[in-house]
Amino acid sequence: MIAACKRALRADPLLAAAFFVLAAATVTPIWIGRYLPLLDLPNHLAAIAVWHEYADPRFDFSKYYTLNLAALPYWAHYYGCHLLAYVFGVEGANRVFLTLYALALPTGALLVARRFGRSPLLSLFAFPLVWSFNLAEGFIAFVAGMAMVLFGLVLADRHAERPGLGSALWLVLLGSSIYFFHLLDYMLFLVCAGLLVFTQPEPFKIRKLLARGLPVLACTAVGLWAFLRRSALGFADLSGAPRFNWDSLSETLTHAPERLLNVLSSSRDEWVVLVLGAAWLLLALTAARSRDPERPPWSLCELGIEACFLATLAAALLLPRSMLRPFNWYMINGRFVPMAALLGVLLLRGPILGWRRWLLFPVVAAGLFYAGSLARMVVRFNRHVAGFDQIVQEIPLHASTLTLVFPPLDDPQVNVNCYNEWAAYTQIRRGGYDAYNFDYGFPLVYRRYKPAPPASHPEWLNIDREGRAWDYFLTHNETGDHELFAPLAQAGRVRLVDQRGRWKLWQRIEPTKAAAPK
Amino acid sequence: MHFRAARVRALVARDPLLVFAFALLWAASLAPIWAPRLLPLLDLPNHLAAVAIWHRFGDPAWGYSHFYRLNRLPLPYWGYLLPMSLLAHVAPIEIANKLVLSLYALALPVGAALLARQMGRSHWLALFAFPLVFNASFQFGFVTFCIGLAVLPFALWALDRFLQAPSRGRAVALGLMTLALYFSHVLPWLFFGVAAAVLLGCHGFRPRRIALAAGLMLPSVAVAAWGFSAAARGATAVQSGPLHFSAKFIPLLDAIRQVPTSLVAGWPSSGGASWVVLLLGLCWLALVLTAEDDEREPAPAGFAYRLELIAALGALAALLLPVHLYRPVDLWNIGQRFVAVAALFFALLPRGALTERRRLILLPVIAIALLYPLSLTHHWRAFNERAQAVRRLCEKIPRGKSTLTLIYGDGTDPDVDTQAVPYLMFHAYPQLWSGGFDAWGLQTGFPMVRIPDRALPAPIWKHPEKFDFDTQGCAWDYLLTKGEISDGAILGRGESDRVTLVGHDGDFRLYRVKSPHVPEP
Repeated sequence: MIAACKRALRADPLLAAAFFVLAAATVTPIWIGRYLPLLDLPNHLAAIAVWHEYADPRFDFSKYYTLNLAALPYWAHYYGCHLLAYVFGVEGANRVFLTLYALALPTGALLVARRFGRSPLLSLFAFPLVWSFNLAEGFIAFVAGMAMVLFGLVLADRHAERPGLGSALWLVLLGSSIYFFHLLDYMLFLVCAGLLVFTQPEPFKIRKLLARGLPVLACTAVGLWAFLRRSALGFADLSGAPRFNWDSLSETLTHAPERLLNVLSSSRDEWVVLVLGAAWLLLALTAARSRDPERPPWSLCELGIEACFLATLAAALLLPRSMLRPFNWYMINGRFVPMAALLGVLLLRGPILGWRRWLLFPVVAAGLFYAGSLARMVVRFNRHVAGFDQIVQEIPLHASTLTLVFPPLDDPQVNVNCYNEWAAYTQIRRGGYDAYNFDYGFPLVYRRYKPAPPASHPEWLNIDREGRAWDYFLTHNETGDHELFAPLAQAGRVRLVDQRGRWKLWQRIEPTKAAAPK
Repeated sequence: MHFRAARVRALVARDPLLVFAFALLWAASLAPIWAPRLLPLLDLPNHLAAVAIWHRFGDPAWGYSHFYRLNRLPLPYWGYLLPMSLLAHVAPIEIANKLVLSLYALALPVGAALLARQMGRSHWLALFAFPLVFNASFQFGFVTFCIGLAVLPFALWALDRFLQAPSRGRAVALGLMTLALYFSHVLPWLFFGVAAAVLLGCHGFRPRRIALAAGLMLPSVAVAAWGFSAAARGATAVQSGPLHFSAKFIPLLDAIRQVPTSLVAGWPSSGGASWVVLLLGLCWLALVLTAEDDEREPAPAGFAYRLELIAALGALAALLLPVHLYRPVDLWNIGQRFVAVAALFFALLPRGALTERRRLILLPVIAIALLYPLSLTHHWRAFNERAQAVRRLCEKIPRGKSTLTLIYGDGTDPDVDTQAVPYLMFHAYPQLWSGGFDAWGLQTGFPMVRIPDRALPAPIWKHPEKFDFDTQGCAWDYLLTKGEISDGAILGRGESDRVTLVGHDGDFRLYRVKSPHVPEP
């Protein structure tokens, strides 16, 4: 696949140049600032940190957590970062992982384009989609899994065209590995790969069907195994009938645009979407004038991408918005919108030659503009969190700290509540216990719980009830209506250790009582 | 006439399937217009009442002349009100309206077909225009805008034909179409102005031809300037005084988000209308992706991508124009209206002949264009069943009496798109059927203007809870309510003996005020 990718780029120096420039621009926001304002990122990093530093006595993780390393989704992200962390540290490892994802998605699009006879130039559309709203939500394992789905589809179609043992093994290996990214990616891959089995010549000839389909079926083994052993894997509480939140089709269509890019609170990302849409449409409309009239009409077995696009679109439109039981699974259908858009881009047939190549110029320009806007956003966001690194260093190791973030939980630059899980950064820096980790039973399992107010209501903290379990309180935005600790300081219950920017560090004066049993 | 009949016969002979599809889909489009008597189109009652005032103004029995004077400046809306007023001589006003709407439902796809052909596309693409007949502007009762929307493709067709090969007939067509467009609605006319500027540059540098075409469009500009300046001096929608611009815009994301719900009218109980949008979108996508230039047909003259430019203008208008313009003219929901305009032009973009397998893609389009209006009919008939209560109650109001209508609740109906709020303008129906004054009727200054100091007191529009019998209710002959929790609930203590409950039908109640008198201010 790497060779195919190289061939595509070597064959078209302009594509190669655009590809590399866009790749550099797209990864820039990942590296330009220390903190990325992605909603779920802090808790993912905390999970990796607990795994990676579990045995380190400085951080006390083994005191509060046990590890459950069962073969569950998210392994690819967590374990990948755990390994990379030996070289780059936890946060650096995640940056490397994100960089690999940012490169893998357009590369996957390039390979899909080549595999299915589309112009490789269409892969340039994939760069802005790297920074989709899914990434803003911090769905890192999911977005990385989507990139893997593209590679998986290439393998599935290649194997279906010319079945062989080697291609079957590669397909089973890669297809099964998608399970370890995210369940939704895995299910999408299985559906799309299954459809690719049938979009081939003589699809219902038993021998061919078996040769093409068996590796795809084999990919389901890991999922079936996990399903059958679900109670032993320790992922959340899976008892009880599922309960979903459904949107009407009208609501789903209305919300689809905001699931596409929509990272920035300004209209810049919407303009990028419009430019990309207009460029694609122009490519499609001008394609009519450049088609070869001698070319035979397309046949049903050439509709692999179309089938995958329709399956992804159906997932985006028909799946529930979220699941409430047996565990809370936020946002299901909306996650598929960027993938549907990417496959939609790749629907366009025929080469892009001559003057039509200029229609890619706005695509490259929009990609660079978007990446630049994202980089600017990250820089500004890091200015807004200034002071955190200094103030958190004042917390001694082995002390327990409750981080309380007061509204607004978002930043003026972005559309997600990027401070919602900020408590995890305190844990990553100084170890110990975080009351707001993801409590799904993987990879960390709480040994016991310390009392704390809900993350969304820090003002509910009662210093006598919950406060006694903590040594320090780190607050953000504790001003104006949210003055919680100033009266306590006057009463001699806490003292202000330091204040930097919007951060305040308070130390409890009374001795800590033992934590409540689980 | 003989020549036209021959052309129609030639068209039928050339593509009888297309003519049959048009006839079939037009017939289906007529069902929602004719099957229910009362249509759930928000602003429609206001327009009907305005026609009634114009048409019956000379008859003092209706009582209109006591409250209004006629104002027939050369302003937009003539395109709707004049044919309505003429038709009202031979048919009741509501029937006249249905005739005009039926014509609109045919004109929109026919105009689209002509434009498609002119721009080198297949006229089969115009089938997409049938569901667009029931666009968001239609369900908001913006009937004059809709007529403008139907005239717009004809005007563009006329301009492009003239620029291609001028002739006296084409010059007359262009002049008449631009005037018709102006008299329909100012927004399609303004859009045409911008699109015309683009089209003028799409047929090569021919200064004489361009100047001639521009000259033919000038009369509508002159009429507009005259009407606008004259209106600015009177009590019309045009704000008087120096020219100011004041408007409310929405974020780009919100403008994009409203696209799917602005294309066709829906109903709240299911995602039916959304399925219409989605399936039509997929069919259109399939046509775009399978497009090939027809080698058998000569390439049309002019810049090959001029229709794309016009479609892009439509998209920009839909996304960037304000949601509410306050000055110089009060116009609501501007950007959203252009979603249908853009959709109409985008529908015509796919290139190449629609023959053989490619024509099969149109089968679901025809099925949707057939089933969608029938589903709409089903829901609108259910609305009509509930709304007929107003009609039955209004039959008890003597001619010339003024009725104050108070709609409690949110004005929605379980069978009508929640955006449409169909009961909100029902206050105009008593005026249409019985005459008198309406506190919240159209105040665009055309075709009528209120006579100062004759207006009857009423609470602020959409705030019936501000109703007070002593200062407002006593001035009216009748009070019509919707959504009262019990008889006389709107009345204060001791006021119930000052009215008589004439009838209670469905969710509506009609009261007669015993001794109407205008209270001292």
